[in-house]
Amino acid sequence: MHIAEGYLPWKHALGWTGIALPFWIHGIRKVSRAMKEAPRRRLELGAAGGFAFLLSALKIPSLAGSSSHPTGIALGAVRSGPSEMAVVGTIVLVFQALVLAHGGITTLGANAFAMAVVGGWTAWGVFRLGGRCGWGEGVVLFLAAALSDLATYLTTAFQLAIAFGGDRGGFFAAFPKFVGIFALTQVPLAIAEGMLTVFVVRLARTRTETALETVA
Amino acid sequence: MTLRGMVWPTGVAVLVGAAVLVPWSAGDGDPIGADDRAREEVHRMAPGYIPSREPLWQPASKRQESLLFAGQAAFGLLLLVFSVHRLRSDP
Repeated sequence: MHIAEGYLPWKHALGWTGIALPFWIHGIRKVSRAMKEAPRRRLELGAAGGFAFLLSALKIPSLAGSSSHPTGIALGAVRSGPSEMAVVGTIVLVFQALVLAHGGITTLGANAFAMAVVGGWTAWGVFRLGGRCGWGEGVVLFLAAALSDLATYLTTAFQLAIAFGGDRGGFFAAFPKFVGIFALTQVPLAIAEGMLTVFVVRLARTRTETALETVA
Repeated sequence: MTLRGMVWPTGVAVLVGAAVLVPWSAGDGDPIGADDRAREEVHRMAPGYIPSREPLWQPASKRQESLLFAGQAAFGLLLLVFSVHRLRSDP
């Protein structure tokens, strides 16, 4: 659910870039700190980046002849932190914009805000909230990833609706239309991403962690 | 992590995958990307809108695009497997 190159008026493109900027700056600081810290932090970031690259490359056919891809942001947001993931997600977006003509550089700010910032913080928030409510880890991770996906596409629909809703019927007519376009593909994908995230987190568990859990 | 813990996510992932892929692979034609549908919708809503710029570079063909997507997936998978392997062997 990326906005294609050139498909935001200049003012909107610049505005979203401005909104994404502080998240990038803060994230780059956190990432460079993590790189200097324990090697575990580096490896966790590596896994998060790999997962995001892998998942956003999977164009999956979905309902009604549409296709889209999951985002893979939630895993890293939960394990490494949402600030760090804002940077990792943006790297994925830059790669896709330059190499695949998927998304774009003018729309990078908007896409990064939707996927890497809103997606990441939603995952983190749901994970924290679910943990505090004492739900099982699997359920919390599933919800974090699935809702992160949904939050991302809702943000994209919002960005398109405020940019293009003006002419006919305004924002409130445009928003449901864009939501409809993305919902069709994104809801099944969000469910799939939720499953996969649970799977990978369990796979990545170290022996120490498993041993601790067995004791506890 | 226990193998038993993997059973339900794997099972459900396979079921979801099958529910989507089986009907799709039986039909003809490629699915249309949601991003492209959104682009069409923009042109319907704002008929006079001209994209403010074109991508600097585009894959020359569908085949090239698929290859690049596969490359991205392969890179991501390698990085993921390498990192997870190192994390798991971390004492």
